[in-house]
Amino acid sequence: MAAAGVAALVLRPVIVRAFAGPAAQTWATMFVSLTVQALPFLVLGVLVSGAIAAFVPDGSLARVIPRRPSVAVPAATLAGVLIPGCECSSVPVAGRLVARGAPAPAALAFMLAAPALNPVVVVATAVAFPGRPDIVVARFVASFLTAAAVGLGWARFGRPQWTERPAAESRTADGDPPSCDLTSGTGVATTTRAQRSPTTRPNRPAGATVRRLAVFTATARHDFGHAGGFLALGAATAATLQVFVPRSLLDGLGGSGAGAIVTLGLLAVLLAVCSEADAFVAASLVQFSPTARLAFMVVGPTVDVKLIALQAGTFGRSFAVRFAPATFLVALASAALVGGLLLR
Amino acid sequence: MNDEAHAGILFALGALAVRLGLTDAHRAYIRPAMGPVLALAGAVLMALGGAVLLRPRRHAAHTAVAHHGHDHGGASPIAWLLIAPLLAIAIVVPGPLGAFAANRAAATLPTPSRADFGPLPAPTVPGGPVDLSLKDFVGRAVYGQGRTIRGVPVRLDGFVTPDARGGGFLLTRFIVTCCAADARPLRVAVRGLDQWPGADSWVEVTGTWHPETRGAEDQRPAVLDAAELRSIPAPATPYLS
Repeated sequence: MAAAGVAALVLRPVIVRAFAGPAAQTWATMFVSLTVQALPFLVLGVLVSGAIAAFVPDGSLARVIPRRPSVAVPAATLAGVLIPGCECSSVPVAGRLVARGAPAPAALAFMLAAPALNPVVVVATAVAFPGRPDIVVARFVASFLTAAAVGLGWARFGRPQWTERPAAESRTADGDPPSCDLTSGTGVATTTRAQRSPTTRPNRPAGATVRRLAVFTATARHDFGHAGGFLALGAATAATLQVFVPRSLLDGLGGSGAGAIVTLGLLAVLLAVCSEADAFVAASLVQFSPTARLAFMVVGPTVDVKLIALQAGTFGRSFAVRFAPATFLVALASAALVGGLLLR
Repeated sequence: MNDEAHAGILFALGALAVRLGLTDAHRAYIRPAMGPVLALAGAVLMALGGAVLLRPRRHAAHTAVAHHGHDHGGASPIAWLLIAPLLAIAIVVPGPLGAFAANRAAATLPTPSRADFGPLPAPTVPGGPVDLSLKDFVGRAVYGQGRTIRGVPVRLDGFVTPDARGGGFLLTRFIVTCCAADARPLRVAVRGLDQWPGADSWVEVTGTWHPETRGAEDQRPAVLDAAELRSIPAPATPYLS
């Protein structure tokens, strides 16, 4: 760490000069903004993830959640509506749920529903589109359909080995088998604490609490480093696309029809705007049809470059290359269908 | 990556987040209301990282032995990428978005509001110009068809963006909802001045609305016939919300 600090100090003028131009400055502003905005939500997500690892007994989720996907997936989607979450926090939480034995289709439906359907997003959409309650309703319905359809589709076509990553990870990070590193590390922590304060009686329940706290912090730390690394990658990609893809390209593409829906769907993937703000961006894209703008808001919270990076990090690459394109197509179809029915 | 390096990165990132959140610095990146939340998240990260860094040395050695034979102690190599935001926040210190970003963004309009049709606020100095935000001015010009601002001297502030069509410059402000990645520029074309400062300079312009009706789909900016321009320091909160 000390060497890294010295290196940073020596390289400082080089770095500052490299970022002096307006394009590089704008890139850096976008990169820092995306990272800093996501940081509190990611911290919240890894704290929940750590709590699940430490306090939810192994196997209990599998018992509580219904086996049948036709029941579990809609229930998980509904849970996503009730439990507000940002996309950056729902990814690590879903990863931990799967690692803890929750059925993947239900966890994935929850992951897609939580950022798109929560009350904050509904209110933000209503504020961004004053006098257009039809758009708020259409967004809710289309996002619900997307989350449920992807969950059910995963139950039908998904393979367990595609989400193998978190299960394997839980063996090393959670210390599921009693002999694994964290448990042994915690054992040491317990003795250390007992040595430091000999007045505390090292009785069994206290030991269990300390061990759980250690699993909680170690999991949160691990998940933050992991998801945060991928978040930085995703933020860098989104910043690059925002700065270097000419926006004039988009202005020429405006309009309605299927082309506009696909264009704004792709734009949502490239821009990686968070779900609480995307309604305002969609509202400002006045040259596009309402259905195309709906597609922007339905795709954004489920698939974007930042989320693809986070999902690849959490569930593995073989998951992300299947899940992201499938979700994108389902979200587009859902937006087109609901927009065609509800919006003029 | 070993546990100590990982914890060090988390601690440093947390400390920077606390500093950003507690000073005005975060306003270049996110909306002001998120400042305290960012500081709180930073404090959690400092605690998570600090817990490892403050562990007694003997224990650290012990843990390393305990970890021996296992894959790793819980830090994945991808966490090294967190160095990038660390360097960007601490060393590059990028400023708020300016003319470069505004030039690249599509023309946008503010969300319509009832205030676009309401009475104007009273001027700060009796008989002087009415102070309006750029958002308010554009909303009144576009949605209210300029009825409330026709012939009234107003004072607007923003930064200078060069106008490709010439004849003046574009007075610009960004609207930000969550972070700078969702910034939408608002522009007013300023006409009637002989000279003006370069791109990204903050200015205060006094003038009157140039009467010209337009639809919401019209991409051209509203026009201000300017009488006076004054350079001002950049505001602490660079974005409108």
